[in-house]
Amino acid sequence: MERELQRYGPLRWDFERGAVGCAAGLIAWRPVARAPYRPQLIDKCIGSRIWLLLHGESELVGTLCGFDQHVNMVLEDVTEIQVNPDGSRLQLPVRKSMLLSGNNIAMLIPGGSPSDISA
Amino acid sequence: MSPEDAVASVPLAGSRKSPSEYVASMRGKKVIVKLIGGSIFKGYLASLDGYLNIALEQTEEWNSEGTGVIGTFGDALIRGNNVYYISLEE
Repeated sequence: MERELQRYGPLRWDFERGAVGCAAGLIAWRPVARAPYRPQLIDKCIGSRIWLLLHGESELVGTLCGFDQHVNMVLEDVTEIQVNPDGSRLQLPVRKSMLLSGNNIAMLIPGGSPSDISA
Repeated sequence: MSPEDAVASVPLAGSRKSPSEYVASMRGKKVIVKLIGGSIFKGYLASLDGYLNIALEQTEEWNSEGTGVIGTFGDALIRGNNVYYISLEE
């Protein structure tokens, strides 16, 4: 539990209806501790290749270094692929590292793309 | 082992670098900012906030292929909603 708190931050208090521990079995709003936002799936991808499909006609393949609550991402060795309307794919120069805005991310696929050379 | 413990015991595969740490390391360096429209701005990063509003100095606007300069500006502020990514110029 302690390790989890270190990784995900403090618990957030919430209220839910339920039995309060007393003799009459009173039903009332009781405080419960809930885990905060816990994006475990993305967390497990840190350090590995990831394939991002973005809004518009582009895709990114890179190594995930970190992310925040907006799913802004820090990526390394990133290849940007521009998908043209006719289906052809144009690969843009590799960027050593970047901060990607979470605003445009549509889907994340762990493990990199099938055409990823450095995977 | 409870499911909670199982989650906590997953080893962190690589080094974690949060976006805020990354931004701190970029201040004052030459960066490439790509906008959603496709245009590229290069300049020295003066400051940046949580909305990804970006202040650049000695700014150059490049075409979307990155092959030629379209224009140059002194200082420029880019509103965060237009930003696609920020990258360090090598």
